[in-house]
Amino acid sequence: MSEIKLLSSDQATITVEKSVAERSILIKNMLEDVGEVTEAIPIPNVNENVLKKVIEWCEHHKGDPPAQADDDSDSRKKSSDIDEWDQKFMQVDQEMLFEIILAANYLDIKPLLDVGCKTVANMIKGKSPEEIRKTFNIQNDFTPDEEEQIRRENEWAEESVPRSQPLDIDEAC
Amino acid sequence: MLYDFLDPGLRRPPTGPDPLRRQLPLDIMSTIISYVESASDLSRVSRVSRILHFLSVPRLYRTVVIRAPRTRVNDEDNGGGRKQSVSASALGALMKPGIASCVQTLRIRGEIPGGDEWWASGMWSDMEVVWAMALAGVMGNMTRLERVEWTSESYPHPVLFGAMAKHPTIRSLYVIHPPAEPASLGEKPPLRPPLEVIPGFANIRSLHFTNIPTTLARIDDYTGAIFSSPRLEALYLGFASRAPLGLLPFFLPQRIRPAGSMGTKLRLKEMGLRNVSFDFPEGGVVDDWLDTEALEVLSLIDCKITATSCWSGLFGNHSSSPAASSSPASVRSAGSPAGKSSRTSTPRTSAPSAPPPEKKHKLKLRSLRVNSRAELWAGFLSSYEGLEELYILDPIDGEKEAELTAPAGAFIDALVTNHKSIKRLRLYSQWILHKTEVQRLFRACTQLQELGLSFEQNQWPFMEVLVLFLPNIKVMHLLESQLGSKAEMEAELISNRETIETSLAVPGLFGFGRFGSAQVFIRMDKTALRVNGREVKNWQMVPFEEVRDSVGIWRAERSI
Repeated sequence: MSEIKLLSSDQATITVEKSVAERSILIKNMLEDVGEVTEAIPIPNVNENVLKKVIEWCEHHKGDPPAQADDDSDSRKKSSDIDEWDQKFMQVDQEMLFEIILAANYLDIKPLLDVGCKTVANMIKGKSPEEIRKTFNIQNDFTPDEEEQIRRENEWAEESVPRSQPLDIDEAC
Repeated sequence: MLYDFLDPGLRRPPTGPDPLRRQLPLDIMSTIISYVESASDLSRVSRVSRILHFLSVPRLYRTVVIRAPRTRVNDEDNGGGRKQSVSASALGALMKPGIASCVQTLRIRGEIPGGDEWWASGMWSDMEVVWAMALAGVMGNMTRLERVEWTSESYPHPVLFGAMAKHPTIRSLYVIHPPAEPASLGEKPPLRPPLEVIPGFANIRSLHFTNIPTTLARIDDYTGAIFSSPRLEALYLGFASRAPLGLLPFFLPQRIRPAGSMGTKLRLKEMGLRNVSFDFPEGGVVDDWLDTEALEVLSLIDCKITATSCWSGLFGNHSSSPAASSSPASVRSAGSPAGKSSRTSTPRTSAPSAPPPEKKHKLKLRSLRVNSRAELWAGFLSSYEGLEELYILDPIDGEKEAELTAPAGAFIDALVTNHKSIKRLRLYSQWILHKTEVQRLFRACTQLQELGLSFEQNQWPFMEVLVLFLPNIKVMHLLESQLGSKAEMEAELISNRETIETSLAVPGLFGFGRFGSAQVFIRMDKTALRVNGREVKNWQMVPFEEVRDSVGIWRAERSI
């Protein structure tokens, strides 16, 4: 069982099983390009705490089958479709959650990125625009008139059924 | 640009984002928004900032649900305090090409005010006309519109049909008709204003007309359009009540079959009918207007087929029906109506009881859905090969099947002989199968992925062996349980949990039980946990509604 070392942005060295680290496409491609490495691979965008968390996820999912080619289907697009272990894994403070997402994005670990994005999508549910701004640290650059116009035009959406629930055409007859 | 006013010069310059806090990059925000499902959440996201507006509007407007206006614009409100209905505001948004071009599915609901004016004036009301013209207008801007669903409590106006007929991108049209007018109004003119001539649908592949009021002979209006739609591949017609004359116009070529690119025969890949009775005294033949050899999917729900000669393409060109050729009265043993008290066991023998096929048909049919155990279907299954989906749903509660029914054995014989290709199978819930029948089925039909059946409770231990024959099985639905309650069923499943997990060794197998009226879906999670040195799988209870649409045998339980 071969191991490699990863060097976090705060200069911590973490030893990890190679197959686990290769859940990251970035690291996998790098290892394929350079072959055997004895020195620690620098991960300049990820600090030790976040890197450990990401490795924990990779260890748990190391046996998972590779993502299917048709992963862009609608079935993938359900924010509620997070397995139980991942739900618990993502129960961290918001700052850490965002850091995990950014690390997954940098390291190119798509399944982890998807789980993180689904978790954040679930956080948006039921929130007002102002609450979303606070959550994501986003500035409101609409004028009040603009915001009111958009609110009015999208009013139809406030009374419709959830998008995940297709219109039950069949049962209506 | 989605909005003309989105001019950077107008941006408010208040306090900026907190520089000490991380912001997620746009590509990640875009992925997050792709997981937001509810239209109301997307609507609120679109009001957060200009960037999020641009990211969320295409997803928000992919499916638009628009209601008929309930109120008129209040003329007395001038200036800044102007009011308009939700519908008018939505139409205003859809007038913008940038927004309209996002729409792929348009759902139209609600009752149009003034719909009853026709009873007084004999004309469509102004409101109905104006609403139809407004919808036709915004549809013109929807350059990616693929699907229109009309579930309004009012009838669609001919103007709307005209717009949809010419639209270059609409592929599917669903019309659920409102309930028919009360019979007491029959003394007044019995029909709504006719649709006149609906043009053929130039690009539509899939037409679904359901809840068609038989008394209004609405199908008369549609038939010409159906036969003039050159690209039609799927046709679903559901009548509000059993219609002995429902499809009569289809049998009258001089009236409804214009010389068009479709010719005089429909060449459909999919057809579904509900509440149609095929016992025409005229002896009309379906093959006169339908190329049955092209059919790949057929669904006949609550249909009555007494004269199989109507369907000579399926049942053969012989004059006598398969049902009439060999049908001892004893075959009726499994023909009792559905109901808890009428549970029937199937014969232990596997002797074929279906009539011998006269010839192997050359059919492309790969999916058949019926709610009938009529003997003619067992005979039909014996007459050709290659079915991939078979759904034998339960008849309407309390309704006795008019045709001679066959026992499960006849259908299983046909399956193991001719349809080893079957992938999705749902059998009549009151057929309580014995392990020998299940064994024959599993050994022959090894491609099964989804299975719904009932078997004797004491046969459960055999399942661990039998299921090993099915390497591709994903969903197993125990239709009927002799266990009385959800709690009992849960206990039974949990007690067999280890057996299922270790012996079946089928990754991703879904287990499912029906507990009285409440339904719970039990998923064996793909994630394995190590407990006491042994790997066990998580079980997760999920509301049935969440998974119903992802499984063919459950989708099949819907009506047309």
